[in-house]
Amino acid sequence: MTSTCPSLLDLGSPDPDVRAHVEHCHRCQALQHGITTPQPAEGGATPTPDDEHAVQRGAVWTASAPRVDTFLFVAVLDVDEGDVWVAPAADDIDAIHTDFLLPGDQLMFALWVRCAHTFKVLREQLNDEIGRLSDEQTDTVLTCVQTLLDGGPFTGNERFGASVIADHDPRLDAAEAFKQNTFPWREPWQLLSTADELGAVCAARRQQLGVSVSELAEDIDVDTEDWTRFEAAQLDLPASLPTARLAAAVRRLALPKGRKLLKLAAATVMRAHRPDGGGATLAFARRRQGVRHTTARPDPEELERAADRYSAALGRALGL
Amino acid sequence: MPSVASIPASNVSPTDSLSNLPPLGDVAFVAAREELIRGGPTAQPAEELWAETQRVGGVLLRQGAGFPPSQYASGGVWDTASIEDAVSGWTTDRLVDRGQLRKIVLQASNTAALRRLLEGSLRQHLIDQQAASQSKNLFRRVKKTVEDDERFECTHEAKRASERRYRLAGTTHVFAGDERRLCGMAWAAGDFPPVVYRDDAQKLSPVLEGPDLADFLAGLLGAAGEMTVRDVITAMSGRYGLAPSTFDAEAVLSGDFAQPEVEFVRDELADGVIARLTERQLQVLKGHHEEQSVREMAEQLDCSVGTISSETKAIRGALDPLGGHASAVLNEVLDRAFKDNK
Repeated sequence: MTSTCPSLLDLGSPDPDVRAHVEHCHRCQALQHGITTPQPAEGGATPTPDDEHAVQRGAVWTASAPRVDTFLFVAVLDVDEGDVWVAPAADDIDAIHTDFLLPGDQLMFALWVRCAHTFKVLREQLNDEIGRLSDEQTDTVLTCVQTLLDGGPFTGNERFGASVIADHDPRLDAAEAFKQNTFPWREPWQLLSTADELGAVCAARRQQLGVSVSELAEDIDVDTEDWTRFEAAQLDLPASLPTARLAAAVRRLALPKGRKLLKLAAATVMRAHRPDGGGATLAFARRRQGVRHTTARPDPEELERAADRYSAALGRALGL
Repeated sequence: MPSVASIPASNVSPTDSLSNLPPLGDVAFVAAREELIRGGPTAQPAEELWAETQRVGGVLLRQGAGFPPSQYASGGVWDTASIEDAVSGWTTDRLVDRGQLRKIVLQASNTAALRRLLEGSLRQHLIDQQAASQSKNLFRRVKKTVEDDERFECTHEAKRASERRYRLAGTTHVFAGDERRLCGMAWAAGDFPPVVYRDDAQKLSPVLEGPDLADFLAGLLGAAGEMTVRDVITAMSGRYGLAPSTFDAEAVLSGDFAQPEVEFVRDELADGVIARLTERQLQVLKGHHEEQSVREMAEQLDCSVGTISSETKAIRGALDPLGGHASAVLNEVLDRAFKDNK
């Protein structure tokens, strides 16, 4: 079954998510007849990411993905503020020579760390630290990953899976399928990495979802022209777009909430905010007097404070 | 690894009322999961988690849907004894010895995910149980193939059959490498389905059957060089040891599907096949049925060609054990899954 198909025991559940899934899934529809054992629910208490724990290189964490109720095991390779570079790990794979075996005595179950399929996740996706690679193991994994990134061949040793000798080895197709199955875990970071400020990120996401500017502007109750300028990184956010409206847009576009998003919002403020709010008037006055136009340079420290204030308010509006 | 003794006895011992245990709710699950994480890698899953595994196993097998006894039950029937045997074996082999309960609990964010993962684990356990019996006569089949097939020649006689050395006729190189390389060579032999039944196959069939086994051996010996029969078995175990294997469908499906009781078995087998497949695999199955190209399917399902190949292999793993009856079951599977938009 896929990671989204419910158990046979849950096929008859009145849970709206289950019902919505069954409505569209041929597999579950075909199995549903004769299965009528709903489970009493006590509420949907899902664990939330614990920000108190520092994420360290070599740690093994469970990672979450939107709309997926299972966690992926990942080994942390590097941490850079809100971005965490990880290698996924699994036990139900046909391992190849770039898969490093984490023996069963460390986590009480064996895992293969897939060095050829590293990607970045948001810090908020990491849920629980469940173990740790030794320094030697971490170095071995990083050596393999770096060798692969450099384009070099990696032959591995007895700690890795059996070598791939021929291109038609079916494990290569299985590895490709595994990579595609990890897409939900890759997507949040990718969504926020299409640009270095929030306006362009929102524009890319809006286009991806096929939502027009006017449709979105109406949904979140902002001026269409303002939103267009925001997407072009030309809107003075603190002056023109209340954080509650931007938070509504983030929800509407289903962008992942967290530190990276707030950082992007701060970058947008830094780019277009004019603390005095009167730059345009001043320039107009100068032109009238025949003076050549120059852009007033805001005080960098003041800009930074405004960016911090705005991103903090946005965080509150998003419930972070 | 935890020992069987560390599991609360009240939950491990199969009882007549496995399916009557109260279900675990999300709040209790989350608390038990957090406790397990707080306890570190050596902590044992709480008693209520073990109880949930027994309940899930009992209910699934008693319901039968998705676990057709003709495929999964040792005696062809899910009675109290066979259910308890199966659940007990699953608990010991997978959940305890391989630490799978701990892994599954860490992977699941709620009880729905927990049940789904437990169901997958139970299914794989039942399949692997049969795979183990399948491999018993592998040695005999390999030996017979290298002796009988003209493509192979013996280069070194030995008292023990496992020590005899064989090579592909016309080749001179000798395999020199470790077990890891040997397994790599086994994979490099190509894409051989793990189980191919002939219509007249017996209950205990080998991992590979007939021409496929000989072709596989030719590929292996041709690429790797001369080796002992023991090496061949090592290579095959490395490659097929964890592969999905076979059901005992032939014994049940010796009849004609036109008979009402056999139609029931066909329906049951279709249930079992559907339950084993994913939604994407079902779509790939439909694509093959409609003679779409792999590229067309990849585009339609928004995935790579490699993924389609991988999914096709999984489908074959579910259908091949049905041998000559696969097409009838396949039609039933397609009818059931796509009856509205065929």
